Amino acid sequence: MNRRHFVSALAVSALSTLASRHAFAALPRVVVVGGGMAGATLAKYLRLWSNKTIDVTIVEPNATYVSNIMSNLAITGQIAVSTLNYTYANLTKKYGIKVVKGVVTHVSDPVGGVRTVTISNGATTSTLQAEKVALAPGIQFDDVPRLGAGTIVPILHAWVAGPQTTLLRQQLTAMTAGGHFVMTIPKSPYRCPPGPYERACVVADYLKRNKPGSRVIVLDENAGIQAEPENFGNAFNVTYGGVIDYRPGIKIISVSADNKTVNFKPTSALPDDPYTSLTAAVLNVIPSHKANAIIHTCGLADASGFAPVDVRTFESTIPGKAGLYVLGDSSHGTGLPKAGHVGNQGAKICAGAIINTLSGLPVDQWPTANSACFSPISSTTASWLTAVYHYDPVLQKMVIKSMSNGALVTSTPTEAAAPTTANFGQMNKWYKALMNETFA
Amino acid sequence: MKIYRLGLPVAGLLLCSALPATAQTVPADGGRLLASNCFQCHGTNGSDGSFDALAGDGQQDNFNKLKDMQRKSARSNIMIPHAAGYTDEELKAITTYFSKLPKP
Repeated sequence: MNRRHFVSALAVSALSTLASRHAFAALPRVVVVGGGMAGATLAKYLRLWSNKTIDVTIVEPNATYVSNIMSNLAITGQIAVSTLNYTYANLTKKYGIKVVKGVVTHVSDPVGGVRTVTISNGATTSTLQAEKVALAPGIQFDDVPRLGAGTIVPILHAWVAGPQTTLLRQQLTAMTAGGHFVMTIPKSPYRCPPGPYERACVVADYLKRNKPGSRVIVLDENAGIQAEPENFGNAFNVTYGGVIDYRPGIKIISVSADNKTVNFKPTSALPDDPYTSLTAAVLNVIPSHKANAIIHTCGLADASGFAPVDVRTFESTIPGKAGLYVLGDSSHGTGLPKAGHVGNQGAKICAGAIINTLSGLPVDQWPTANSACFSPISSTTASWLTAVYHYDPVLQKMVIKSMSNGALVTSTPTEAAAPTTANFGQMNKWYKALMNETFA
Repeated sequence: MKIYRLGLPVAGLLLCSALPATAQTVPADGGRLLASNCFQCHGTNGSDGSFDALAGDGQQDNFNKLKDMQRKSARSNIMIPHAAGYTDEELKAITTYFSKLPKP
């Protein structure tokens, strides 16, 4: 007997009985905090899969979402930053989703099953009431110690696409040939596992063509490449041999006030060991990160800095926080990587769980998800990485599975055989489809 | 907890298609979540994506295509590992779900 998520005819009958027994009342309300890949998808599917019988409001400080996916190609100037922009107009028009501008500063405990969400927008404070609150606010960066005198120039991460993407683009353009582009990668888990390696590749490609003799120095706090080790390893050693200098196992200690010099040690170094310094023409530090501030304000984070959730529902597993949902890059312990495509799929699991819970129906105990990510390796070639995830009731998280001899067995992500121009074409199609699926 | 009567079109679909008293079992949501794994590339409900539309496709045709893919080299095309990530029952549920949707 296949023990996956199948129900008997009895349970299906119960469903229809429940639906008819309860008189049609005021629509239940869901407030979605954050309109990124996960939040926008959740809002859309709460409406779509409930036949618009849930009142859904997204609270989001920005009028436009700027896609992190593809933003490395905006840094090299291959695409315009403006092509990364997505508004909420389609979600409002097609699905009737309300959008309130502002930052959520507080979510109350439920009173009579209703939570009050406090929203700050400039000098104005407002509130919304909702039966369910789901938070997908994204990440915030950990502080990087700054060294030396002078005015502190902000860290240039370009890891939340937007003004920083343009700034990094400008600094790259201004580099003189023969200069050093130094970038740092934080310890996992971080947003978008292949992203930093992809950036190293496309920046190296740009420098090779436009600033001969320049180098990309990659300081990685991890012991090795975190995604697509074969394709990125080959790119670092062969395609960009002599251009990319990849150094794993390096921890950042501090950055100079002018944001040009980075001080670092091997991760194996002792506290008193001296640090090494590198001064760059462009310094791109991606600091370690954690869940956005509201997650901590609500007491939803654990020692990891992210919010532990049950991946079957994306409901918080912090004691006393049941009924609050956390999804996207803020969530933790799901077995899923922090990435936009995955954020989209996780949101659909969460949407189904919220709809069923509001309807008094059992929640799917056997969710599946997939990750798919194309990465440009140059201005004309791309690679990809993909996996299908199934819920593992023993590990209580998602595990990569693949068919082998007629049965699903635990597996690992699959990467493209090699970067190709055909993959580059598919990448553009994937990006367009994924953003449509999320924002239209 | 308060129970809402939400518009759940899947329930109707299930009652029509899955209740005959056979040994055959179907996902509680009629294969909706499984099928939604395809939406990122093939579009919401299998249409309006950049890749092939799936809505209204023949169930057996697409099932056969996915089974063929399972026999190919995993790294040759991104669809191969996707096809290989599901059991026959799951592939049946996915292809059945799309076959019941109107063609775009």
